Amino acid sequence: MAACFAGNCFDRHRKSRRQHCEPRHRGVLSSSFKPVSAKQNLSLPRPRDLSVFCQLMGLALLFFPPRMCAESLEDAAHELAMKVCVAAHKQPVKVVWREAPQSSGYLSDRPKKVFLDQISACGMEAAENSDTPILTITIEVTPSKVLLIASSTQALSPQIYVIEVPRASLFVAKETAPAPQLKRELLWQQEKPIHSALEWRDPTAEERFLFLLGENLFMRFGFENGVWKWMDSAQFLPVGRRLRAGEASLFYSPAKGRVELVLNKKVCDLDLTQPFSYTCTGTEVLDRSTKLSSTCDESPRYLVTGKGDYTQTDRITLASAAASADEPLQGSLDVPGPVLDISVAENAKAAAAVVKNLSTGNYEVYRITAVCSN
Amino acid sequence: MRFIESRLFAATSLLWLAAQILLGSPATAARHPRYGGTLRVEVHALRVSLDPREWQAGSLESATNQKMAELVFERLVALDNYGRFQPALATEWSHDGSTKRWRFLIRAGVKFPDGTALGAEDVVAALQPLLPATEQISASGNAIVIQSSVPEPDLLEQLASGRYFVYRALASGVLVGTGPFVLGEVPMGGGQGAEQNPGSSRSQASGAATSPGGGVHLYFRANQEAWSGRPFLDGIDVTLGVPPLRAMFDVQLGKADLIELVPELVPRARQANLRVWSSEPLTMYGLRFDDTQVAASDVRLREAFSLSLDRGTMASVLLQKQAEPAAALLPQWLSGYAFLFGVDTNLERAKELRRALPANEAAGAALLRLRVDPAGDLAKLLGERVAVNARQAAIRVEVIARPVPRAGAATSAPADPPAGVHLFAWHYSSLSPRAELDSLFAAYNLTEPSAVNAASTDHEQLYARERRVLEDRRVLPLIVEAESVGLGANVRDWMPARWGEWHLDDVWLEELPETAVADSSHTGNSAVETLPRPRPVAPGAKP
Repeated sequence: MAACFAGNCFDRHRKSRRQHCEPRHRGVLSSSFKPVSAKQNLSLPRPRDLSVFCQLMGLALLFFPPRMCAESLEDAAHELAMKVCVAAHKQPVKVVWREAPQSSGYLSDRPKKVFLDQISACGMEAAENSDTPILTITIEVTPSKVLLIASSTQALSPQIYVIEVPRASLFVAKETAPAPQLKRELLWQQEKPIHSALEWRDPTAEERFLFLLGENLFMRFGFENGVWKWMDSAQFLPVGRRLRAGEASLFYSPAKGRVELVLNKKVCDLDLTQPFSYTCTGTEVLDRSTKLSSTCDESPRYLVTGKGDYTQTDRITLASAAASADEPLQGSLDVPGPVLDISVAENAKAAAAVVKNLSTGNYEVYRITAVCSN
Repeated sequence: MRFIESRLFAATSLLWLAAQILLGSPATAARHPRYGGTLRVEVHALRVSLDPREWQAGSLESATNQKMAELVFERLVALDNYGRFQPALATEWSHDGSTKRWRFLIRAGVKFPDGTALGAEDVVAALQPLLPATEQISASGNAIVIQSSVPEPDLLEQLASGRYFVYRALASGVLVGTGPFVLGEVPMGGGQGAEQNPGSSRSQASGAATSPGGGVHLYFRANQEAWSGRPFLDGIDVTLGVPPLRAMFDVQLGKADLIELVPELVPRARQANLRVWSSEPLTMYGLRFDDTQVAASDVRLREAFSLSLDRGTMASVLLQKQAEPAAALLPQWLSGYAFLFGVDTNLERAKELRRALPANEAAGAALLRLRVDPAGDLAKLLGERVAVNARQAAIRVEVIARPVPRAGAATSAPADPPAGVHLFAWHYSSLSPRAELDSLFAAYNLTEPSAVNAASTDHEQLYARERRVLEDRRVLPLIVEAESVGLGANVRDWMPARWGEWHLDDVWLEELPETAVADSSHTGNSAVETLPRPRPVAPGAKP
């Protein structure tokens, strides 16, 4: 389903555009506007005349229904080239690009290259000879669409090939970087409570670790052969003392370049050498940032969770630092229970989210990353 | 002492500067939007219907009707100038994979002028008579569902344009809407001493008045409760039936703020330094052949006729370059492919074809009668020009310029002999090329070959449909004409859609000194000059 909320179309809407443009089996007309039959297609093509591919394409398109609509101009150029390739006579063509004044600026070198590469790959080399058939590629803008149109001036009554791109999708692509989407990966789950989790890569040993804070236990896991293996654990609270929700958490301090523990709002330095120990300095935590970087661009984004209580499933959302309160958030991820804690890893490229799964009752640790949607 | 004076001067200057920064200098303040004022609009139309159910697709009257209706009513969605669909009365929409079933969530908190809330059932009642027979609409909670028997990937384009307004029909027959303005009483002192006109049509029943000069006024007052925020203007006073030249003088003299300009007056208005804005081409003039005269049914005669037409001269001379020669049924800005149809003028070939015709056909014994269906001087001039062109190819044409309403265009008035050719005008109103083509074909009974997929919205199929009909030459497009308006010097934030929507809810009026009113030499677009305006913030307020 496509969905738009207050004018902002989320990823679901992007999918909907594909649905708009789903391939349709349909009859294709020849240049004489009579239905193309197999018999007609078997006639020999006239050399050096693009009109032949109009006829050949008819039958071919019946069996390879094209997508009429694309999501970007690169996609559109590729799909248009595929349409041309499907039935065209394998001969050199002179490709002429035509941009109307109102569509200038839309067609960059990249879609042109994509088109030329694709037709070249199917045996239609781009040529500059004056006697080669001319294939004109035109870009036109309508109120809601950008059209890439392939036409041949040599055909008597030219069949055209059109790929549509919703203008709105180009606007997003043109004006802003691709929106990052959140992705989750289950790292750990257990029945006993987990208050906080942190993934950490030791820069000296190039080893990956997962730290978990249980009820009163600090646990360390190493990543070996694709699985987390328990390494050691240590009691960090007096026996009988239990943590309340939100009382302790792990975080990586970029300023100090080390993993730290927050206990009763106080910062505690962790000594990760065995045996595990920590020293609380009495400094109050001012800000535990959930800033997460993505591969899309440099703009800072933050992970935020829902405002429901611990009886409800939750949603982790990526928010732009520059966004105002009423501005829509950029990417979201549903999790099977309330999010208890989020700690961003040392490279800020991933975060560990502790979730209490309301279906199983287990505590689960997810790695959350922001990936580019395209 | 000198030192003290300097310090005093410096301190005073600083205080003055600070005050200017805090309060804003007069020059800066003048560029900020301001509330208030009445926008005086003059249009040529003699009457306006605000009932979308009455509008005839493609009619020239529907253009003015639509502009007035946009003040009072709203649609479910809107299309902005960047190709993005924006929520209006629908805040969310979704469709199934086949695009046959669409669901629109209706905006909460929208009220009619009487304070009652807009509900999904209102939307259903309004749109049901407007939607084609293939589409069924139903309410589902606070949403509506449109179920179509055919895929409708262009439903948003359709609903964002044309007559798809949401309204509520009161028991009195008057339609009310949720738009930025309300058709209201002419204020005291406004409307040039206007009196209520009890004889006005149902849709004009309130707010219509006759001025001493005889012009009928419609007064639209600001809707204080509009969900999208109160418009800047207090009201809009529309005078109907103003002759084009008088309208131009009125805006030059400061008696009007916004006028419709006919094409022939556009160069003159520009020379007079009047602010002029033109839309994309919105009206097509064309010829349509029917079989009431035997000669018109011969495709060779139609081809000769077509080749004789000098569309370039029609656009550049008759329409003062305010129109473009047309070779396609849909304009380039709407279809994107119109450029593929070439305008073919070949008088020699036309003569050759004419010579090959049987002697008893058009140029022989009988005259080919050309009826000019639309009213107005322009249509008559075009008809006469067509006849001149045809005569150059030895096709004898008689022009009958007694306009008839388009509903009766297929048949001539009983008193007139049957005409084999009709000059018609078509106003484009839909943002869906497919819907526009369907309306055009239906209005003029243009038949299509069965091989063409008429339900398809993809542009290859639309192109094929147009091409097939144009090759038959039963319809010959002549020119496409833009709409132009002249603007007063005090009109600010004029930000229309290029397809002709005026967006008067964005407009505000600047208070100008008396001298500036007469001096309308300000030609720039104020939308560029002014700062972003502080629109009252409403939930989901229109951008």
